[in-house]
Amino acid sequence: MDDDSTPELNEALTVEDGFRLFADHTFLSAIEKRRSSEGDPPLLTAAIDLHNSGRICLFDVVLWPEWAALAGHTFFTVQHFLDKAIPRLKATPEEMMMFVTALVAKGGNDGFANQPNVAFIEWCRRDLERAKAIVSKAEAGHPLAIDHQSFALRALGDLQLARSIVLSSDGLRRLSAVAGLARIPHPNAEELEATVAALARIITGDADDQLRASVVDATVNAFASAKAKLTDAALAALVSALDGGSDIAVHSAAQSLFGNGEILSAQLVTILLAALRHLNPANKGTVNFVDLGLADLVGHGFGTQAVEFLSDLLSRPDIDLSVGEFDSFSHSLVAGDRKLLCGLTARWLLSGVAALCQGTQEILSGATTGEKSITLDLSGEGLTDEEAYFVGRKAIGFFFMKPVVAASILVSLIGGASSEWADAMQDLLFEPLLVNYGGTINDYLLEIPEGDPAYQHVQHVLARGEAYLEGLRSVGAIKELHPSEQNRLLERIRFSEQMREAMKGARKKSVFHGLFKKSIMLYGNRSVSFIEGPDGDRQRFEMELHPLGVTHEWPRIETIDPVGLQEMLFTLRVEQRR
Amino acid sequence: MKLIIREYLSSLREREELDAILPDLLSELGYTVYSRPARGTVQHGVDIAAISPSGEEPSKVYLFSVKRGDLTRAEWNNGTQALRPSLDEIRDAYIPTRIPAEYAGLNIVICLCFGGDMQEQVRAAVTGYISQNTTDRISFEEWNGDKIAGLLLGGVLREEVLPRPLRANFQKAVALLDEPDVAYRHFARLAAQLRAAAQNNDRARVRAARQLYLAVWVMYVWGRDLDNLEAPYQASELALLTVWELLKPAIGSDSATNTDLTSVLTQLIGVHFTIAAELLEKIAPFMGTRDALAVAVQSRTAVDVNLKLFDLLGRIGLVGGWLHWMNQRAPSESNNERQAQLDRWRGLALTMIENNPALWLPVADHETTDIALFLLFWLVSGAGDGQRVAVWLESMVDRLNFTMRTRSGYPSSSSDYRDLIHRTADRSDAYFEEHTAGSTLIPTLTAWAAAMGLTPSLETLSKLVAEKLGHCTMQLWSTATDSDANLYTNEHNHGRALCDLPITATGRELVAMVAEDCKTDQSWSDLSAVQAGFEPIVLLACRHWRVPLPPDIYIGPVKSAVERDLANEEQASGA
Repeated sequence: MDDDSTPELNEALTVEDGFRLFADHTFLSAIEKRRSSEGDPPLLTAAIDLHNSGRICLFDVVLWPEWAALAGHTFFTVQHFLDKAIPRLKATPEEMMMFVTALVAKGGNDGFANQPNVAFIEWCRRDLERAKAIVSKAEAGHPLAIDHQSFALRALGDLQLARSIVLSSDGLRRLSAVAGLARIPHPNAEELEATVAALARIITGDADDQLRASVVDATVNAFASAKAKLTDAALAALVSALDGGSDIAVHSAAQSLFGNGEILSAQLVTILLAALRHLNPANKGTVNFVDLGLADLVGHGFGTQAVEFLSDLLSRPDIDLSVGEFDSFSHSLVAGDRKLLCGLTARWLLSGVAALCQGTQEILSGATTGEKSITLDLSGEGLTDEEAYFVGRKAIGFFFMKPVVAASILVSLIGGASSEWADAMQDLLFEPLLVNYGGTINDYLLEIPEGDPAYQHVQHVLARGEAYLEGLRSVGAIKELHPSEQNRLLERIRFSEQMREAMKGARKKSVFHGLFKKSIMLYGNRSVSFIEGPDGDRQRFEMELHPLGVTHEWPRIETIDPVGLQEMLFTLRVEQRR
Repeated sequence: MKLIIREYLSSLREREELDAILPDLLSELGYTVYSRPARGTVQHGVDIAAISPSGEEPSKVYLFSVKRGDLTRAEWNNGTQALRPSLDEIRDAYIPTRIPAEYAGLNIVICLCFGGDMQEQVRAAVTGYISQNTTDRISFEEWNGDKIAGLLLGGVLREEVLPRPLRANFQKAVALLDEPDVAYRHFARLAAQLRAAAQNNDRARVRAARQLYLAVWVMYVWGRDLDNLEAPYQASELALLTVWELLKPAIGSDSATNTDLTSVLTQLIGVHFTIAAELLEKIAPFMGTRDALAVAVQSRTAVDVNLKLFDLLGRIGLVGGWLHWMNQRAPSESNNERQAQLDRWRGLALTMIENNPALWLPVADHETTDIALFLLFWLVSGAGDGQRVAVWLESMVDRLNFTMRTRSGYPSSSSDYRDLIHRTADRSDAYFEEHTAGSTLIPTLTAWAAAMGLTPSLETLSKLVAEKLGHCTMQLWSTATDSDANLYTNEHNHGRALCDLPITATGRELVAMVAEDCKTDQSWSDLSAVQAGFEPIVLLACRHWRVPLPPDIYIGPVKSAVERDLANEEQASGA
C-alpha cells in the first residue's frame, strides 16, 4: 500500500480501513507510521474488533514476510502495539501462548523482549479460567503450557497452589513453578516462611544448577516483593542453593544483589558476595549484574564489603577483569562517600597490585568536582610513614595525568608523616608534580590553607617551584636553539594530522555517534533548520552554537625528556614495597 | 649590495675585525702587503703597510691606521689608542725608522681607516691636522666605510668575479639570517658555485676563498647584530670545508696559491672559532640551569629538543677539538690558557648533560656523531671528570635498554626528521625492526664502555643485542679511498661500513676487530686534512654532513685502555 493512502495519525479510521490494511499486509507499517498515538488509537481498536469478530486473525502477522523483516526500533513499536492488544483479544490458551512465544522470541536478548509475557499475565487475569487451563495442561505435560505455567500462576496469585506444584513436580514444570512462586506477592511472614520451607525442601544434594539458580532467585524475590529482610531459614536456603558455585547460580546471586537494596542485610551481602567469588569473567552478563550490585551496595551502606570483594576479585591472577568493567560501581564510589573512595585508594595503591592500582586510576578517570579536579585525603587511613611514602609514589605513577589527585594525596600524607618522610614526600610533590605541572599544581598548592599540617612543606615546594621556573625564564630566547622553520612546518602538519585523527576517533566514540544525523556547518555561528511535526506542520528551529572545549596541561617533561618520564612512571608503577 | 657591506663595516666591533679583511682586500686590489696586523709587536701606529699596485705610477707606500666604527672626537684624540696619536707616531717613529730600505725613497700615503663615517664635529680637526702635516712626500687619505665598501665591490666582490646570481645568493643569505636554514641554503649555493667556477684556476681559487671568507664575516657581523649566529656558524663550517677543497690541490707545493689559500684557511678557522665560541659563550651561562636549554628550544616536540641539544654537544666537542689542535700546533705560553679553556668547556658540557636529561639518549642514531665528538674532546682534554662521563654513558645504556625493551622512545636508525616526529606507539615487530635496522650508537657505546671498564653496561648491551636486536646491523663507519674526494663536499656517498661488529660482555672483541681494520686500511691517514695536520677539518666534516666519526681517530687510546684493563685483570688473577 502506498504510504499516502495510510490514514494519518489518530485520524478517524474505520474498521474497513483496518481490514484493508490487514488484507494487503501494510498493517505493520501502519503501526510504525502511527507510533506516537497514545491511549486507545483507532488502529488498535479496529484491530481488536476485527480479530474478536473473526474477520481477521491478528496472530497471523507473525507468519507474514513483513514480520520477518521487522527489526530494531520498528519491531519494538509493533510489539508495544500488540502488547496493548493482547489482554483484549479472544483466543484459546494455545493460540495465545504460541503468539506470545513468537513475540518474545523475535525480541531476542533485548531487555524489552519479555514484555509480551506481562501482557499475557494480564490476559490470564481477565479470565482466570485461562490460567487454570494452562496449569492443568502443564500438569499433563504440555510443553508450551509448562513454559507459561509461571505466568498463569502469577495471574492466579495462589501461593498454596504454586508451592504444591514446586513440591510435587520436577524438571521444567518445577522450575516454572518456582519462577511463578517467586513473583507472587507474599502478604505476610507466614506465607514467606512456607515458601522458604518449600524451596528449602527441593534443594537436595542432587538438585541441578538450574534449580539452584531458580531457588536463589525465588527466595530473594519473594522477600524483596514483601520488602522484608531474609529470615535465617531463608538465608540458610540461599546458602544451600548457592553451594557448588555454578555459573548459573552465580548469575542469580549477581542478579539478587542488584535492585534489592531495601532488603540487604550484612548476612545476605556476605552470602551473595561469597557466591560471587566463583564469578566466571567470561560471563559478561553476570559481570554486568555484579557491577550494578556492587554499586547498590555502595548506595546502601555496604561499600566496605563491595570494596573488599572487588579488591580480592581483581587481585586474583586467574581473573582477567579490570575496573573498567565495573563502571557503575566506580561512578557510585566517586559520587558517594569520599571516605570510602579514600579508603579504597589507600588500600589499592598500598597493595602494589597492578590491576588494583590501575583500577584506582580508572575509577578516578572522569572524576571532577565542577571545574576542579577531585582531591583525596588519605590522612585518616592509618598508614605508617613508609606506607604513606609508598602510596605517594604509587599515586604519582598512576595519577600522573590527574596531577591534582596525586598532589592532594601527597599533601594529605605529608601532614601526618615524620620529618624525614615528609621531606621525601615533599620532594615528590616538587618533582615530578610541580616540575611538570607548573600551572595546575601551583594553583592547587596555593590554595592549601595556613592551618593545614602540610602548609610549611607546601610553601617550601612552592618556593622551589618558583626557583625552577625562574631558571627556565632566565634563559630567554636563544635563537640558535630554535628548530628551523622547515622543521616547525613539518611538525605543525604532523600535529594537525594527529589532532584530526583524534577528533575523528572521539566522534566515533561519542555516545551520539550514529544516533543523530550529522550536520557540518561551513559558515556562521548559528543554525536554522526545519522539522516536520506530528501534525504535518513544518517548524523552524534556530540554534546558536557555543564553543565547547576542555583544557589539559601537558606535562613539561614530556617535551623535555619523554624517555625519563616514561622510565620514572614505569618504575613508580611496578615497584613493590620491600 | 653596497648597503650590506657598509652596514657590515660599520658594525665591526673590534679594530681587529676590520684588520682581518683589509689585507686581503688590498691584495685583491693589487697592493703588495708587506706588513700585516699583529698583536704584541711595536707597530708605531701602522696596522697595515702596503705598496701601491704595480700599474700605479709612481709607486707609493700606503700606511694604514685602523679604527673601528665612526671616527668620533674621542676616537680622534682621546687616549693612546686614538687616531691622532697613532698618526703622530707614524710620522715621528715609523716613517723614519721602519719603512723597508727598498721602499725608502717612495712617497707615503697615510690612510685614516675606519669602518664607519667621520663625524662632523671632528672633521675640522682632522682637516686641520692633514693640512698641517701634508708635505711633498707625505699625503693623507680618508678610507671610511663607504670607500672600503666601494673598494670591496670593485675588488674582491666585483661583478666579474661575483656575478649577479651569486650576489643574489649572498644577499639572500644575509637578508634571511633569522631563518638560518634558508640563509644557509643560499650560502651553500654561493659556496658551491664559487668552488665550481674556481676549480681550474689558481688565482680564482684564492679569490673564491677570500670571497667566502668575506661572506662569512659579513654574515657573522650581521648575525651578531640580529642576535642569531646559527647561519653564520653553519656557513663558517661549510666555508672551511669548501676552502679546504680549494686548497687540496696546492697542498705541499711552494706556490703562492698554497700560501695564500693557507692564509685564508687559517683566518677562516679563526673566524669559525670566534663564531663558535661566541655562540657557546652565549649559551654557557644556562648550561647549569636545570632544563633551561631544553625549554629554550621552544618546541612542543621532544624530537626538536633532543636534536638541538645533541647538536650543541657536538659543537662543544668540535670547539674542544680545535682548542686541542691549536695547542698541538702552536705550543706556547698560551697553552695553559688553552688547557684551562679545554677544562672549562669539558666541565660545562658535562654540567649541561647533567642538567638536561634529553642528552641521556639520542632520538636518532646519527646523533652518535655528536656523542663521539664529545667523547673525543673529553679524551684529548685529558680525560678529567671520568666519573661524570661514566655516569652519563651508564645512563645512556640504561635508557637504551629500557626503550628498546619497551619499544618506545628508542633511537631510530632513520635520520629523516619526518620519520622522527612521526614515531608512533606502534610496538609491532615490523615497525621496531624497521626503525632499528642498523646502529652505530651501540658499537660506539660498547667501545667507550670497554675503554672505561663499565662492565655492567657492557653486559646490559650484549644481553640486549642478543635478546632483542638480532635483526640490527651493528656497525661503525670509516673512511675509504674515495673519502678524501667527497668528505669535505659530501657530493657522493663514500667510505666503508664496518658491519656485524660483535657486542660482547667485555667489548674487547669489537675493539680488537675495529683496531685491526683501522690498522689495515690506510685511507684515514691518506686523508689530505690528516696528512696536513688539520684533523679538526675531518671532525668538522663529520659533524657538518652528519656522518659518523671514523673510529680511526679514537680507537688507539680506546684499545690501549682495554689492553691495560685486561693486563690488570690477568695480573690480579695471577696473583
